Order: sequence, then C-alpha cells, then structure tokens
Amino acid sequence: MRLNTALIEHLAQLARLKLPAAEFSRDLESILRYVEKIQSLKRATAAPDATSANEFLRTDLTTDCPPQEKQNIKRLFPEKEEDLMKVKGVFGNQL
Amino acid sequence: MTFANINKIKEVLTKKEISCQELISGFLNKIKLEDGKIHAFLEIFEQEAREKAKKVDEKIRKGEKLGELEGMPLALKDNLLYAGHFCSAGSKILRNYVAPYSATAVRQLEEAGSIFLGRTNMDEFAMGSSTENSAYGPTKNPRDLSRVPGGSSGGSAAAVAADFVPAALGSDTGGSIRQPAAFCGTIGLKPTYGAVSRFGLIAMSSSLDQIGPLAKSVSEAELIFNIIKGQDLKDATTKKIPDTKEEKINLKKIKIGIPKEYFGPGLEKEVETAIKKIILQLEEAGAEIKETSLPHTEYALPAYYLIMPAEVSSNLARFDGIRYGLSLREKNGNLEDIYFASRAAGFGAEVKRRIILGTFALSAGYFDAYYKKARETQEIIKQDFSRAFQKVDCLLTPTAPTAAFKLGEKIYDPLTMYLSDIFTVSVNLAGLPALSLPAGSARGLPV
Repeated sequence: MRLNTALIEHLAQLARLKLPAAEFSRDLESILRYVEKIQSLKRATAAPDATSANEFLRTDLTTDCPPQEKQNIKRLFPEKEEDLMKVKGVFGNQL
Repeated sequence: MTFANINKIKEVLTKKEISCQELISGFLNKIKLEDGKIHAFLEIFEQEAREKAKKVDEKIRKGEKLGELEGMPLALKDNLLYAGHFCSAGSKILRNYVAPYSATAVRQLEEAGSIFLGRTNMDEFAMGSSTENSAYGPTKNPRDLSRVPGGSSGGSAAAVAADFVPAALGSDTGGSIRQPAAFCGTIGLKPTYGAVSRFGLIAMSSSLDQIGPLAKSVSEAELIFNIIKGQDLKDATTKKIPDTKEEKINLKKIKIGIPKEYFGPGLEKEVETAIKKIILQLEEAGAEIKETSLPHTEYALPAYYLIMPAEVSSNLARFDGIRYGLSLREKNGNLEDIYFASRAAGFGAEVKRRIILGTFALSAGYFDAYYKKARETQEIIKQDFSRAFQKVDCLLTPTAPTAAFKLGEKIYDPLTMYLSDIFTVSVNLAGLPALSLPAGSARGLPV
C-alpha cells in the first residue's frame, strides 16, 4: 500500500485539513510500512464488538446545564449575535 | 520546603510550623527563579494560588476541618480542564480557550483542598514522547537541560523532578506519564483503564487515555490516585476500583515475571544493566523471578499506531473553528473554508500526520486490513498478558529503551520518536495499570 500524494490529498480533504501532501508523504509512507507489520500476524481472532462490556450507565434524564457553565461556553463562541452562536450558512455559497 | 513530600507538607501545615501562604510563596518563588530555563509551566496561577493559600490559613486558624490535601501545591497537565482557566492541550488551536468546567479528577483534587500552581507543558494533543511537539516550545529535562524530559506529560514530570510541586497530574495513552517519569527520575502511574474518570480530559484516544499522578514516591502517587479514582456518571467507561490494601507486601510471596521480549536489541546497554541490577535486588530480597513471554510484543506499537490515530481523527474533528478555539473566517469564504483554514493553521505537523493516518485506517477500502486488523491484534496482546498473569503476580520491564535523549535528536524522524514508546504501549492496549519507578541511572541520567 502506498500513501502517495494523491491519496494523502484525498484523506486531507476527508479530514478537512489543508496540508502540503508531498512534504508529508515520506514520513507517512515509512510509518505505514511499519504498522503494516500486523498483516503478518496470521493468528485469527475475533475483534470485540464494543470497547468494553462496561455496564455503568446513568438514567437517561435531561438535566440543565448550570447557568455559569452556559455563560462560559457562550463566551467562547468565535462569532456571536446577541446570545446566539453565528456560523456561515450550511446551504449558503457552497463548496 | 520545596523538596518536601506531601506528608511532610501536610504535617508542617497542620502543626502550624509554616503558614500556607509561606509554603505557596516558597514554591512560587522557586518556579519564578528556575522555570525560565526548564519551561515546565505554560502558565502560573500566581494570584489565585496566593489567595487560596490565605483562605487555607484562615481555615487552619479557625480550627476548621481540613481536606486531605488542604493547601497542597499541585500542577495540572495542559489537557485537563480547570474551570475558568486557559487550557490549550499544548496547541495553537486552543490558544485562548478557557475551560467552562473542571475535569472530574481536577474537581476531586480541588475538593480535597489542593492549590493548583499552574498548567504544565505537553506535546500538542498528547502526541509525542519528548514535549518537543508543544506549540509553545519544549520543556527541558531538569536533570540535564540539553535533553528532553520525555512526553507527552513532560511539563508535569519536569515540574515534579525540579521540586516545583510535590506531585502533578498527567495523562497516559501510550506511555505519556510513565516515559517522562522515567526520563526525569520520578514516579509515574498509569491507572487501570476506567479507574479515573476522563470527563474533562481533552480526549486523544478515548479507549486508551487515562489520567494519573507523577510524584517522587509511590505513597504520594497512591494518595493522589485514591482521591481521583472512582466511578463517575459523566464517564460511562469508569470502573469501580477496590481500595488498596493496608498490609505491607511480603516480597517472598511475590512472583515477578520478566518478559524476554523487552530485553532484546533496541534496549540501551546501560539501561539494561540498571534494570538487571534491580531484578537482582528483588531476587535477593526474596521475590521469585520468572522469565516469561509476551510473544506478540512486536505487534503492539504497530497496532497502537493504527488504533490511536483512528480515534484521534475522530476526537479532533471537533476542532473546526465553529464553537470555540481558533477560528479563521474570511469575508467571502463559506462554512467549509472555516474548517480548512482553522485546522490548517491551528494544528501542528504531528497532529496532522496522525489525523491523516487515522483517517486512512478508518476509510472505506482500508478499514478491514488496517483498523480492524489492529483491533484483532489488540485482543491477541491482551491474551498474552492474561496468560502471563496466570503464572506471575506482576511484570517488570524497562519503561523506555533509552535514557533521556537530546533535544532535537529524534524530532525529524517521527518513526524513531514513536519507538520511544515500544515498552509502554502494550499496557494501554490491554487496559492494564503500570507504574514507572526510578531504577538507578544510565550515563548519569535517570532510568
């Protein structure tokens, strides 16, 4: 498997990252060659379905966010209009 | 007092031999004097620490009930949210981010009365083994300023090693508490996965991350661990951990396994010599030493470098310039432009590398051969440990293959840097606890 520039550019697009694919290609290729070692592990075993069979769940109840916390979160909005977070239109001038 | 341990500090405070203000002042002055050349801290919470110290002195004066860590100076790794304080995960993308709430572990320590002196430096988003990937400059090893303190909890390890605080919190996903602890000559504990709530820890790899203490003695690390452990309704992956037993360990009843795969090529000769000396000491003290095997050790790091980046690529998707953090918006740009511009400018090279790797491992056409295969490998590694623990009580290995390396030595070859974690990652993959203990020295550096 080759992580060539074209593939890296495609992956960067998927990850919403802009990067100089050619510069990253050498390091990524050597890392990929290293991790591909696991392909040589022939012993088959089932991968688990979930990360752990932990049953520690809480009742599904809505609780209000504490007012101070709410204020703190709103203060972080990069762009605001009154009390609301402002973003560019999803269906606005498109990709 | 800055060389003192937690119990000594507690003693002098309760006996009123020193006021909390004097104590905190002492630590703050030492940091101001010496951290310029070490750079363990990204920010000192000086004013707040002094005000809190004043309140503690009031409490003591009035004879009020004191918390278990009342007035204790501690430090927090920069990926632990502490309400009202900057928290940047060592990244530019969170340069001005102020934590809206505190992590559970932080809250627990605060409720016990501790005073956080500041937030410590780390590799960006915990990605690194040297703290050289911090967007805010590296931390130096207090034992040798030309060398790295290890990573990603390099700042916390350096802060403890330099006596800036008796203990600090770090996080460990592939060795990030234990390896810097080893490089700086401190204790570092990675608890069992699920022992400590990850609520409020800026996530790297959610199935592997754990918060843990760095300290100068095991009993201090234990004290901190006992305060921060516990099930938390805000983290469904937390498990109930029984309290540690009070009885002293009888070494004659302990079987220590030495996995042969950890003592091969790649392990620096002087490190091996130091570890073997310890093994001999343990044997002379009565422990049974058994050679054991974790046959799939060589597959652990490759599997880790597929599972962890996969989770990273998902966890770091939230940094998109929309709700918080660096947000680059051009007048004529659209929504997607914000994502691309903010992430490109905000993330360092290592972060981008791992996001790409993870995106690759999870993408259609590659998922089975890479991510799924890595998860199967993880199961095999877990089985290696299960089998070993049928015959021994614990395993002893080197923490890192070398002692602290020089700044700049490995930063240009990511793969060489990744190999620093070759002995630590298996434990994270298996969800097991592990403790790094100082084991002498190699070429004058801690092992």
